[in-house]
Amino acid sequence: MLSIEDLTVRLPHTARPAVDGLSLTVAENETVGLVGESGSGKSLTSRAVLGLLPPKAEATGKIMMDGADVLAMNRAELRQHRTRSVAMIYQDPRAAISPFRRVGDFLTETIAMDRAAAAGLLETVGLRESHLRNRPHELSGGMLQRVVIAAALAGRPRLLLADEPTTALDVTTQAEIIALLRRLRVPGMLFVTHDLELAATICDRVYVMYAGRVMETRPTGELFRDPRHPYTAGLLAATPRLDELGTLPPAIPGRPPDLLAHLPGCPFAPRCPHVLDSCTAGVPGLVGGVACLRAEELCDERP
Amino acid sequence: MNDLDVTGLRKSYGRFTAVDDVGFTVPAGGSLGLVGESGSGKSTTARLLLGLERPDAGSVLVCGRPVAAVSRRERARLIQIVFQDPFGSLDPRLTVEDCLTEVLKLHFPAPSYGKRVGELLEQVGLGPREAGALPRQLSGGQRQRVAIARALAVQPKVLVLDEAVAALDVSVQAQILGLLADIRAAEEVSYVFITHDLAVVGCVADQVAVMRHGRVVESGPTRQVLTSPQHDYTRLLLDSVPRAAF
Repeated sequence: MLSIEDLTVRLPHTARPAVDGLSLTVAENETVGLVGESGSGKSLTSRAVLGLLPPKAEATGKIMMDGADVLAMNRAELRQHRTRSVAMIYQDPRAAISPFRRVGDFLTETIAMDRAAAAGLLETVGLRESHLRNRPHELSGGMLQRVVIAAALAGRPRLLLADEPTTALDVTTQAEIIALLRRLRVPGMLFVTHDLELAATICDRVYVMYAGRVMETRPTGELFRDPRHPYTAGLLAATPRLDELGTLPPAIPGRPPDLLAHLPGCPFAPRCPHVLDSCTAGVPGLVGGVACLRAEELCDERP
Repeated sequence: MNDLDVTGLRKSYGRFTAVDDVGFTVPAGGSLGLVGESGSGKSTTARLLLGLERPDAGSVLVCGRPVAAVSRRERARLIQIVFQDPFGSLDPRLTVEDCLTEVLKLHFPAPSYGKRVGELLEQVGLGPREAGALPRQLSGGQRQRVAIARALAVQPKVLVLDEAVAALDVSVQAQILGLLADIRAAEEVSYVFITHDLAVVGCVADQVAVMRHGRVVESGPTRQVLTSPQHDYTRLLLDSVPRAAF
């Protein structure tokens, strides 16, 4: 359904592309996770799918949505694309809704939709018709995120882009919203998050991004059972876990690179415990879903 | 003597009671996790601990001394706080070195501060390059280290960490958690960890108190509360934590 080929996005005044040669696919009836830390380029990627790049950004490559290239669309086509093919849910629902308008107005203003249809949508996301008359400040963050999800569903999108949809919510509310997203069964979903564990609960397949590049992409179960890239392994180990009480998770030394640093070779090399000289010589390609020169070798070393 | 004794703390805003009969103790060098969702009263509790708000009832004793009755400067020497977003609590115009020097000047008059500033920065894993930097030139993790160094500068008895690692990336969060554990092992300081993240509490806190609607609904040793929760709400919180479904 969605197929991104070799997408590179450059921002002005930076030394390296913010998204660097990214390829990604979302098939029909698939939920795909895009996981990375801040600055890894995951949000920029999801915005590129909507054709919503910052004004001075330069993008090359292809973003094919049902056979049409988003990067080559004119304004009318983009509008059609954004209303009918793809819908987005953002992190903070309070920033996505005008605080002055009623929920009902918000749902009906953009797309020609009557009250009954709007009420039906609210029901789908677990709210009642009476909420149409509420103003945003009268609803909790979780309820408001449901409203935003309802609005995203209004155009019957083929693909739902969820950019950190639960990060601003409490953990119990997060569980409810995740359950809702699971139940909705939109034809396809790209789930962007910094939280590997959360991605594991909802995604069929996960892309792990670092410094604009895909480090590893495999089906969720495999990735978690047996992470092949040192970055994925480090990230999983660094996540505090409830079943390991009282032990401090091992940290990854160093810090993520900023956009002003030019990175020859593997971007993770400066922080990697298994680094070799050859790691900085050239950029490792994705082989078997892992972009690491030593993936095979490290895999064999393990018991 | 306990580092922190909190009894019967209550704070109302109009008809709304934000904190209702909250009490806990932290032994010397201990670490308490205060867990709850937004609106549970955990941040108001933090403000009451620091003396930034006056409680309607109850008392906060740090090493046996009531924070409500001591002078501001003395209070600052007893208890310090690190907030979620250090950007909001660091002066954007002061370099890291100036920021630490200012605190030291206020509390420990001395001819020079360079040595102590160097020690503090080293303690939190920063070097001379960061010492001359402004907050905006640092990464989120580095800024949080500066905020921790500034709080430690006065050698407080209790350090309150209000969602101090929540805004950090996982790989950096683990670094800061490790740093905090090292500091607790080396210094005579105890922690109050305010967080919504049960997994974080599990790896840093000896004791945990779960708050809901301004009340402590369950408290006890971390392992006991997280492995055999007694209250329904604690159970709901634990069940809501995302984990990989293998």
